Amino acid sequence: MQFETRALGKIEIEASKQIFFPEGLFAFEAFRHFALLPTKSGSTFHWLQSLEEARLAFLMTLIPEITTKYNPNINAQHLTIIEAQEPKQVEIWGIITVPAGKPEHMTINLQGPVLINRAKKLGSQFVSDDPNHLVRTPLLDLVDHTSGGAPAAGQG
Amino acid sequence: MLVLARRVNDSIVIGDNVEIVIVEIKGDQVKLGVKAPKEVKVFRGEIHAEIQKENRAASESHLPPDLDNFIRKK
Repeated sequence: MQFETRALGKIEIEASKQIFFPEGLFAFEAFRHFALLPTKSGSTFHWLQSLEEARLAFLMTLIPEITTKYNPNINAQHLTIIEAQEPKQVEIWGIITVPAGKPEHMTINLQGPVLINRAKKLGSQFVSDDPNHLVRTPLLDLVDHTSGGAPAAGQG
Repeated sequence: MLVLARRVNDSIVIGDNVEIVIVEIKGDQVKLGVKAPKEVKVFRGEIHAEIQKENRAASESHLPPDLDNFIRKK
């Protein structure tokens, strides 16, 4: 089925890419049907695009793709919303905020991650109770720079 | 708004299955215990408002050019 999107124009979105949010997202509770679309082929960054309002889309990334140090305590209640039995079945996405004209200051929301159960095509925004999980965490500070580079030299 | 005076270990009941207990009072801080069915969501009020505000800000975001080059994937 064809859908109008905010960033990618009018495109075909198969049912397999559609995610239902039974409770919507905070401040956008009326919108329940979304699709998860890569910003470009192979990118870790995706659009969470509303299928009900073309102008509504969120930039997101899978948090484990950028850092291994994030383990929110996902409670059973939240797993129930997306019909998952255990946290392992759930993908943890972070919504990214990019200030206009200052992409280097972009932040990711670690306090309100988006949980997606792919198998059931269900999603929900979770609230982490860890005080270290900030609503605005600078994204570039969070990235683990472990990819093939030399280990950090000159400690202290 | 309904305002009730309570002491430590007192509680208030909301509806049929939510109870809020005053656990501890120390200076200007009050510790509350919330007994509620698991399908009732309980958050600190300011966190809820913060996430709403951040979602609104995030919904205005545009994709930075060469975002993938910003981030070195593992």
